[in-house]
Amino acid sequence: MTFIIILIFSGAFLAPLIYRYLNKISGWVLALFPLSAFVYLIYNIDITSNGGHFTEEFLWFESLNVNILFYVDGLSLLFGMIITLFGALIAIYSNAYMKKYEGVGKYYLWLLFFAGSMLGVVISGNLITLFVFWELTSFSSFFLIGFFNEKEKSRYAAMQALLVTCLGGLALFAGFIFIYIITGSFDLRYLILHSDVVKSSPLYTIALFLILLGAFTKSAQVPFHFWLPNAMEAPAPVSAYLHSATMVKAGVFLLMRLAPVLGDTDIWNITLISVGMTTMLLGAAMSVAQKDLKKILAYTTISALGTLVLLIGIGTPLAYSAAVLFVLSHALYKGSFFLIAGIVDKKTGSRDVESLSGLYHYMPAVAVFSILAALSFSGFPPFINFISKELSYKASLDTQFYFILIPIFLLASNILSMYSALLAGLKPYLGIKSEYKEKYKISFSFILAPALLSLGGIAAVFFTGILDANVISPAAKSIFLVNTAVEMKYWYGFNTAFILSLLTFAGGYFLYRYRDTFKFYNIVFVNRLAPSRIYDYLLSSIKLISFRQTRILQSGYLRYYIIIIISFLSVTVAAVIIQGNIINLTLDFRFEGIYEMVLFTGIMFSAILATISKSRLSAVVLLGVVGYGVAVIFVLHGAPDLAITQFTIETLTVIIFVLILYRLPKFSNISDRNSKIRDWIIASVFGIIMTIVTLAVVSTEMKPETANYYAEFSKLLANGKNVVNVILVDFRALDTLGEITVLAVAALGIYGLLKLTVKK
Amino acid sequence: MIEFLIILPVIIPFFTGAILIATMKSREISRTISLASAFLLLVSSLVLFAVVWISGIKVLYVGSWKAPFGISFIADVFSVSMLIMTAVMLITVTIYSFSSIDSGREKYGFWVFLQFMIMGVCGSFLTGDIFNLFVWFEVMLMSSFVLIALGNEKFQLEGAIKYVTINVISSVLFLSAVGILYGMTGSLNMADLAGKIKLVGNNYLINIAALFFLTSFGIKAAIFPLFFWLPASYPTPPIPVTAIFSALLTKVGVFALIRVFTLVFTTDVSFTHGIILALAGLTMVTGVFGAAAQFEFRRILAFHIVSQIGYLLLGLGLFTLNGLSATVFFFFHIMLAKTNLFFISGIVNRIYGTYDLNKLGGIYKNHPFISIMFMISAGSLAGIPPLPGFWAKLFVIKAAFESHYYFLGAVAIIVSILTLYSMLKIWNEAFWKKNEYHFTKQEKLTHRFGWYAPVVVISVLMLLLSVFPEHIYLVAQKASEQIINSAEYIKIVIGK
Repeated sequence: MTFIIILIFSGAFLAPLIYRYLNKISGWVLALFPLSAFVYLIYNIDITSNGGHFTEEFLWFESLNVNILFYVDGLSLLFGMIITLFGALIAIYSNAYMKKYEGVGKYYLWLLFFAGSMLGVVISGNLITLFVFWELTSFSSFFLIGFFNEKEKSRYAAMQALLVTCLGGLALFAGFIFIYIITGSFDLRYLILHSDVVKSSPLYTIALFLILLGAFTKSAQVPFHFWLPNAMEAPAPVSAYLHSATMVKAGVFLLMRLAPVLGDTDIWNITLISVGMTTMLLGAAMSVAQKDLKKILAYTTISALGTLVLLIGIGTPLAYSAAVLFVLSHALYKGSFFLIAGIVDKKTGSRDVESLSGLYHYMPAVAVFSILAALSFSGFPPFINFISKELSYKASLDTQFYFILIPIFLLASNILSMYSALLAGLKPYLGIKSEYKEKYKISFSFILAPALLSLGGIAAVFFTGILDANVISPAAKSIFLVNTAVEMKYWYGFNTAFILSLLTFAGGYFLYRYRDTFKFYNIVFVNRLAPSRIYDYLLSSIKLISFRQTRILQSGYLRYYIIIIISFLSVTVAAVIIQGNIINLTLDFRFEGIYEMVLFTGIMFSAILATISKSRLSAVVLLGVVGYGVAVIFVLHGAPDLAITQFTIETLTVIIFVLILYRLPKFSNISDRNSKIRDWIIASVFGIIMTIVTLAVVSTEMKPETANYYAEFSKLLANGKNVVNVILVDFRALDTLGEITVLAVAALGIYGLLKLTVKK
Repeated sequence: MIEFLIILPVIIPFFTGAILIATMKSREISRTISLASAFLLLVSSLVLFAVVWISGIKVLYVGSWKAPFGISFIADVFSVSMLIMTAVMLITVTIYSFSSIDSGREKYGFWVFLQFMIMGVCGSFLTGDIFNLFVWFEVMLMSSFVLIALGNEKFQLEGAIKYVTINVISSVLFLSAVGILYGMTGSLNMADLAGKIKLVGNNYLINIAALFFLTSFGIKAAIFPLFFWLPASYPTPPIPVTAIFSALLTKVGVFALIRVFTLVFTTDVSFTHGIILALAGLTMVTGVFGAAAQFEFRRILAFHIVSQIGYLLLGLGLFTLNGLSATVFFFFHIMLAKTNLFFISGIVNRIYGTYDLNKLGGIYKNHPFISIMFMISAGSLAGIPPLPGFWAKLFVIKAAFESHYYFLGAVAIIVSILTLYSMLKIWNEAFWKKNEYHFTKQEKLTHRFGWYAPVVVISVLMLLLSVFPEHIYLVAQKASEQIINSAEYIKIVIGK
């Protein structure tokens, strides 16, 4: 298994080179990578066909229980075969389709990168490895959808698809983390064995909800379906590969994969059935209102995905078998359809089903394969899809949920889908010739893939037995864990399911026959139904919020920044002060002598005067007075060194200030009254808070262990009588070194700032 | 003797800086010395790491004055990991500067200031003394201020003024906080403080001190609502300056928060760490919204720094083993991703002559290599698996859920989507859009080695981290264990 993953990824990284040197046949060459993987899977089919599985494990992240674990059972094999076979066919098709574009090397890179990631998803046995591959599919699909990235629409669609699927992806991720929290494991084998632990946990509901969100976004369930029709901006082979056969089915795959762990609870069944039914019907309904060939296909794909989710929700062995078979048959006809739409688009330059007609005369082969696909789509016998439709009718009749609503919904959506199938697969080829030139030349590599897929849908008839025994039953068994013998037959007797099938044909044909009377194109409401608008709305609100928030917070004005910072501290500290009631108002106003009182009054007086002074010079001088006053306090409390330092600093500051002041423009008062009041309030509040805090701190009893140590050992150990100096140069010499560095940097910096002016 | 290793990360840049003052006028000599010193720093950090990894936390009493009386330097797994990252970042920035810094700045001390800034950073990581931390912050602040302002370019000074003013406020608050703490306990040694603060008895007063530290370090770390200086100043200086700032400065702020709020302020966790959690959420959200409003390459990145700081803070706020190891892991991821993105924006600017997303375009077509490099870093930032950012987010979100902070976990997830949106915006506009401005200068890149080598090195490191996340995770786990079991740290420092 590791081998084929590595093979495909190396193909991806070689793709640009191969494209450069083997330009004309690069698609064919690159097809060999997935093709050999396909062969490898077929070769190993025996292991899973009897319901077994095999694993390969590499230690990766043991402490988190994340190992690279490949777990291959019937389900993985079915999906793996689809992924690899389609990968090869798409590469061949691309050889013709992508011929004239630029950047095709990168296109192949992402195509194979996607194929590898998708294969990784279906063979992962560890939730985290699964998630890694899961996100890589989203990531690579971003580049594939945005292939025409110089077009605005294309970029928009790519981004939308990635954002929606990544949103789901992250939900999934969170869900997986919950599962880990519940069980302590990401290992699928362990989880299957302990599913009762998961289901009985109080976290089950939230985990389930998150995981479903991931699956639903990926598989385009209503209301997350909108990205899929938009993703039709992608080149046709990408749509065929990602948007019909593989990536959109990743969500369905995940549901199947986790059904043994999370499934079979009421909430699981009811959620899946409800969402599936809604998506199925709405998808079909929306498809009939489309004119664009690819859009029709996109909406019918949404409908098909809904059907799959519905069937998984029903949760009976029969339903699982129907779902598994439908995965296969849908991939065949829908893949073919998309590829043919690509040919038509490429050759005629139009995808408008209303105007296309009579193409049979210009491209007969394409017409044949298209009609085959349409018939398969509609579920006519003997196409394999007939059996899957029969089975799903049978499954829908045999469930306890929603009475008979499910078969009715299924019937309605099948009728609508059949109409779409005929419209897209039949109409463009029949009818009057339009004004196209002569016959279109369609190269072999162009027609090969759709031909094989269309014929595959009918050829399967001859292999139902083998297919059932080797692929379908083992896959269904991986979901239900017990062997379920649902025989694939063309005739289950004249029962209700058969009647429903007949009704479908009649209804679908009826709608198609009288389409001009119904004029479905005009039904605009279905287009209005698009939650794409919600997405756009969300995105533009995010932008709006961002702009507003940024304008308020990041205003560009330093004063507001300072206001916010100071207010933040003031408010939080004030809250604590009030809560703790630590205001200590027992102020001790006894002064040691009259000079202390004079000093105190002087300092306070100068400080207040400095704030209201109208002249810079006097403000500076007043601040100097405050500084000198503080220095005198140091003197009075026995710290002459400190006082001397302070005196020096103050003197220098005042002198430098005075020197600079002459060079500054005149002092002007530009604050208005309101902002002055605001500043006063903020400053006073902060000042009061600082005072309260200081007083509170002073009132606590400090343990002067360090101070005592310095006093005691300064002479004894450091040989210095002056404690302050010893602290500076010995006890805490590193601080001094740091501060000296600061000064040096400042000096050099000033030099550089003054001298250097870089001009752009 | 082995303890001497602990001071080397401060000594090396100090002496380098001093020598560089003398050689300032010669570009070649300055460059050679700078690069050699950066490698020396890496080697000494790696050796120190080996020592600490094998034999546990190491302490150096500077001047042999035992704690708590002198200054202690402490090397634990967390601080030494940060030293290694610092050295790696310094090496890449040095090489990148070879190509991108102009000769004027080089001749007026660019290399000197860079080294002194690193000295401050390393000192901050290593010191076990709260006042000494203040000193290192000052060293860092002064050098970084000169680095921002050097060159006197038009927008530089405006950014520099905002930068220095707000950071000086931070310093003042820091100093007040130290004063408050010293007033209550009479000690400056953090290990000693851890014990002494429990004797204070007045929880409210301790909480006030905690708020002062939170505000002061919060400004440094650029958390909500204190981050303004960052988006205002980061986009203004030359890219190497922005890159090294984004790699280190805010991270030192978070580092200091972690030290203080795991060692000293653990008496009222529901209050202090509750506030941190709330701020973590708000920081993530406001940062990412800020980015969504921008249309300039560097400004988007600058706001994302803020947003990512929220993730770092989240792990601290949880105050659990897994939470803190998530934070430590996140450090590795974010330093790499962010620096690289700035580097790439610089290359883009050199070639296309602008940072404006409106005017950029067509890089994917013309420069696939730059595109891949961008993809790796941006993808990592957005959390695309298996890039390092994915693992980092996995750990953070898991830790949040484990502690039952579901809402914050959800916030982290939604912010992650918005981050992806921002990165996609850059991608769509600069890389995918057709370049309509062919008339703007499109220079051929000269000195390609200097431009590309750092980007390639960091990208390779990121890829290694994607494929082998466990090794770094174990480092983070060990670092977190040492942080959480602070008793061990205290015992080793105090020696009791």
